[in-house]
Amino acid sequence: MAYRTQKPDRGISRRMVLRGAGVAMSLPWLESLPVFADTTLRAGTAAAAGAAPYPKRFAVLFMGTGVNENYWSAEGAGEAMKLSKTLAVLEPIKKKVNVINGLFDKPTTGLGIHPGQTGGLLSGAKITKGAIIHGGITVDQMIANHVGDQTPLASMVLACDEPMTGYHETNFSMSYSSHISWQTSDSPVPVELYPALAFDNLFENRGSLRNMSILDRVRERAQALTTQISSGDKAKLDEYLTSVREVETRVDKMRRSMAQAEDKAKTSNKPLFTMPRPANGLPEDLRDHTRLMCDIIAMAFQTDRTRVASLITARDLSALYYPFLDVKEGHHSASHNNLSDGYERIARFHLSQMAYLAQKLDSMPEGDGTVLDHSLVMWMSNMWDGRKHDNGRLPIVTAGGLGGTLETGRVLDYLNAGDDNRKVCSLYMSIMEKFGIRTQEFGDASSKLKEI
Amino acid sequence: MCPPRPLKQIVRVCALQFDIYFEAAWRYKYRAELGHRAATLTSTAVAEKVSPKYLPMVWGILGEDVTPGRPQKVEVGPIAKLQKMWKSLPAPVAGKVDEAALRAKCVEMRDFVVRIRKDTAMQFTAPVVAGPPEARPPAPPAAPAADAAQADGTAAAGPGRAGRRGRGGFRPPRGLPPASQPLLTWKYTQFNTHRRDYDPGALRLDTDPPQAPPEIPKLAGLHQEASVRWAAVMKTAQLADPDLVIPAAKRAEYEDSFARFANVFPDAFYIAERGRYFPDDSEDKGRLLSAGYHSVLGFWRDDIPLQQLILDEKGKKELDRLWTEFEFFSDYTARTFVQFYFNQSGEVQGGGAESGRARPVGKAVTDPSVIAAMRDQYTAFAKASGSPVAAAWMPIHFNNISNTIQSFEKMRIAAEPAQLDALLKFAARAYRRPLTKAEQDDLLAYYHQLRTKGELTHGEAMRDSIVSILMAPDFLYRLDLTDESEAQGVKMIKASAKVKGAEPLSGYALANRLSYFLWSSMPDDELMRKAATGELRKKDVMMEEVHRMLKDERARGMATEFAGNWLEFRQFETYNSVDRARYPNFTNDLREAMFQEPVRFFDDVMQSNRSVLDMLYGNYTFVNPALAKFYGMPDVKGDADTWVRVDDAKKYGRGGLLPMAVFLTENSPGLRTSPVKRGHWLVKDVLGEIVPPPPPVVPELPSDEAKTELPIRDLLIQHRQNPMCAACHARFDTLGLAFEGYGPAGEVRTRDLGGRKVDASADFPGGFKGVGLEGVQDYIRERREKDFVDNLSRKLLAYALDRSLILSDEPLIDKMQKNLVAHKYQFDSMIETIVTSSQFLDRRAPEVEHNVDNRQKIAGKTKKSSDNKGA
Repeated sequence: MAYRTQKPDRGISRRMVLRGAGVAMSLPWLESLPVFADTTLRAGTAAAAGAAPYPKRFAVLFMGTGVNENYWSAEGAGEAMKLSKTLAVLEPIKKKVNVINGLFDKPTTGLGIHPGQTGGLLSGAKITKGAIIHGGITVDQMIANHVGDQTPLASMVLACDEPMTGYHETNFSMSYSSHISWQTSDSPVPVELYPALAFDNLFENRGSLRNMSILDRVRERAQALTTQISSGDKAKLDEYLTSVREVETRVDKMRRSMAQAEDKAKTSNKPLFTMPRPANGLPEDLRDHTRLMCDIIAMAFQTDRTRVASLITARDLSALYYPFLDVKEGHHSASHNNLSDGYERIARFHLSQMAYLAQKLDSMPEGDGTVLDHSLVMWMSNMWDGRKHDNGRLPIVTAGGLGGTLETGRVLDYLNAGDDNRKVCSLYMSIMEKFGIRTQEFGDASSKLKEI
Repeated sequence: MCPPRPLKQIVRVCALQFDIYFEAAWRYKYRAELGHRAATLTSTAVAEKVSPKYLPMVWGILGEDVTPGRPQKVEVGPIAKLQKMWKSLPAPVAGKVDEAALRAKCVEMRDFVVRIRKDTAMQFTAPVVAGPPEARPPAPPAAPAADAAQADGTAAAGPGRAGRRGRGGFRPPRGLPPASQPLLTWKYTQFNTHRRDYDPGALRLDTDPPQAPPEIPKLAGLHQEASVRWAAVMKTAQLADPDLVIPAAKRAEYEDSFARFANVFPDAFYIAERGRYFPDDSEDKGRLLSAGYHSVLGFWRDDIPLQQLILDEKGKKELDRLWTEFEFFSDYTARTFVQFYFNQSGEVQGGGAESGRARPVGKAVTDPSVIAAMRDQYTAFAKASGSPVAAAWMPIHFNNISNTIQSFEKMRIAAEPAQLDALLKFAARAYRRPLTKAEQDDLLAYYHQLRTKGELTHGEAMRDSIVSILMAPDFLYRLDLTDESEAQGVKMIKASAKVKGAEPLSGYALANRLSYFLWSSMPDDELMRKAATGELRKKDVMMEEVHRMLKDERARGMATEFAGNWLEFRQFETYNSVDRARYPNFTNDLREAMFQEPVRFFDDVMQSNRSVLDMLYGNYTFVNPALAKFYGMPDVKGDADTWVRVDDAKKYGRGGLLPMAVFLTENSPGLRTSPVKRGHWLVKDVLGEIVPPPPPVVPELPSDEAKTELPIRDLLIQHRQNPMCAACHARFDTLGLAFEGYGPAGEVRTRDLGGRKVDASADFPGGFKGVGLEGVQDYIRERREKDFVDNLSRKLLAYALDRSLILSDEPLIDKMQKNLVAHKYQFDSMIETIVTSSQFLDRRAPEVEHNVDNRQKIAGKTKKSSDNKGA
């Protein structure tokens, strides 16, 4: 459900049997290498790679309806990079940043504005009008499929903006405007809006306590049956009990490893990164909402709960409301005046969430570098400017070097490289390849992006 | 889009199909000529499958409601014209109806009605809510201070409010856009309630001066009133319609005619689909009732004429129930409101047409107090704008939403007991037996524990309960427990086992055993009923059930599972070893058809109680279009599911199981035949001979027959010449060689893939010579028939009992064969022998003492292993 009837806020709640509670989380990844036994890389991989055995992570942050193009530009490289007003929020980490200009997603052009421009953004898929929706698997989910079985969660798909039902006047479903991650072509991945539930997902895999309760019950039943069946059938029932135990063990692993981490923290006197469980319900202030979601992603990456995340801070056709930015119009209305100062503030607010996340990851040491050095955080929108709904080019900026496989501190401009050489799906192919995914084609691209 | 059954029957008039009613009325009018003298309007409506409620109204407007002695009303306007068309319909001639002419004329009448109603339908425009009059548009900013947000989040004072520091430089609100949700619901409600009215403004007096058609503006942009353009389109159509001109002298009569006409013929019975530009939805098909983003309106019910004119009370109740159920599980009113809250409701604060508002503090968005606050704000705004219509409507709109949300929340809570009941019923179906009282209580206790201790919501607790049912051993396994019926309090006919050391299976266990035998599926209600009382154990009841079940289409399950596993073709649907380059006709369709052939054959043996020997010698088989083509048999018309029996299959080289393509293909390695495999399959699967496996080091035969120098029978010469090989191979090679007349895909052939002439002669074991299929059949008939019958009996018995056979089953197998012969080998007799045996009806009594001893022994010896067991 996109919303629920909410109980009044209780702050940090007492430990609940099946819902999980706030935890003191553990140490950075390297320290916990022997603790997260189930998340260590397979033996031999690290040696074979010859590189540092830190997992690569990928996060994509999305804001709808474009930027204020007068304040979105960059030139120079590395320390000497000059960033325009909106991009300036990335100044502290600009050496780890790539500003990518001029890419576009041809399958999302010519379909009309808004949902047509968003449905195939991360996949390059051709979407359909009317009651049957049809997209395609997106780059983040491709990566999740590839590395997801090494972590408790394959990916996190989050949003701070409620999905919208109904249809746009272009006759495309509003679900295209409300989601950016798709696992299959039939349905987008539902977004998690509630910080508390996203948090629970990390540590209890939400259902694990509930699963344990079900397993207990059926195991009891099976044991009661053993007295009533023949010895021949007992063997069959033993098989059953064994498989029940196996599932219990898997489900239990996470909680055991978490307890171990807590113990290790106590005995080794290392500072803990504590994060209390967010309050139930949805934050009233958008700023709290975005910050919490970024914190959760950061924690997830640091502790290797997952290596893939997507976060919508404002969806396409967003009606988010910014009293704290002195903008009275809703997001989408304001985007029609995208050259206004008000809209520049909006875009800057959203980009600063990405900056916040990237800097947080950069503050987490990992081996010789930081978590950010082993990750790629990508920020993008579905249009260049909201007043013309022009998506012939997209505003994209990344942070992180993916373990040295991506050169950073650059301004890359593909605007005049020719349509065949500026496909955003080529960028996705390049990124996927750094995760070890080789495809012949993705979306409308059949080769990687030059320089990436 | 018509509503689902059973309303479908009555509601044929989905798309203003008045012609159907005109036809029905005509058939009633000429009922005598058509041989239905006694027919009434009602009986005619039922016979013609139209609404008995509406037909009399149509009958009346056609002028047929004549009271004898009373002068008939002289009609004018559209009613007169319609009646004239009606009277011109020809009568039947000598009891015969010219259907085509009748239909054409009725359609003409319908088209007239539709046109008149289209041009006179009432149109509505949302009331204007312009905002408070004192609001002024803001003056341009004096200083560029607007750029710098202050530390506390507020900005410098905005213009027009000198000295006042508003939060964020407050801009006074503008009016509501015409597509504001409450204004839309007002407008839609007008449309809803006026479909049987007409617009007097659509008519022109004959004394009126001529009017030029208006200019039709462009399609409305966002936030603009769409009906402005539509009004211009309508006006143009009206001006072009001569039937809308009325004589000024008879104005009242004509207006009355239009009114009565509209009252009978609505401009729509119901709206099934809505696009962006209501009511012109020509462009936006495919979005059903869910409207566009910018109108943020979900499902809006618009079907009053349907209810008033077409549906009877039962139909109306059903339609209401469907809408209620829809709301119940989709929660669309609440969803629509939430969308409105976050995407539009900022409009009264001046945020513009597409702005939401901040989340309410500490409350749900759908809380009554939140909706009430919004109601009051919108009402005040409408009042301040001087829009009384809107001001009166706001409370209705918001109260309706709030009341609906509240009542459905209550409904959901009230439904929980019924859903828990359903949970118990579901468990009984899943376990394929009734639950004991203790089990039911336990399941409910589990649910309640999840709700209280676990703090799960009702939906979550239901889900977990269902999962626990589907993971329980009682669902996943068939448990033959004997004490169930008594524990369930079912009065059982006292039964005793036929054999010492055995005890009768409980009724439900027996029902499951029977249904999994004959259907490979769970028992149905009737079988469960008979099982519950224990009467299923009686032979006549049992055989009655057997025959009922064999006639049921679920018996296909036995054909597929038993035959498929017995003859080892169960996995053939995914068989991929045929070289599709050499055999391009081996498509997935053909493969499926090959798979189905023995299934259908066996199905027929079962259902028609044929002789089991037909499987060997039957001169018939079953084919569908793909298989018929492959076999060279006459074309079969239809699709993949059309199966016909082909007699005299011999002339195509087919008949019975042995020459079926599936077996010949499955036992060939792709590019050549394998007489070894085919022969082995025959003696092992069909005749039940046990052949030891080959030794580990066996030289490979070439894979591609086309590339060999010798024919395969010569390559197999080792098998005959080397005594170590011959010991086994002599028993089956030749039986495979006899099928050399069939290629690697089972096709009939005279030459092999190397171009050599095929030789299908063979020396069968025991010195019996034969050629091809007939040779094999003769051989079996002479020498091996008993083996086949014996083998089939054993396989069937093992399948029925779900276990391997043991020594004590031998007498039963004997009995099966004797009965089979006595009944001319009819399949039925085998089933009967099985289901009336103690092996089927009973189970071994549990050895309780032994179990206890063993448990104690284990407990004493090794603590560790019992720790590990299921801990």
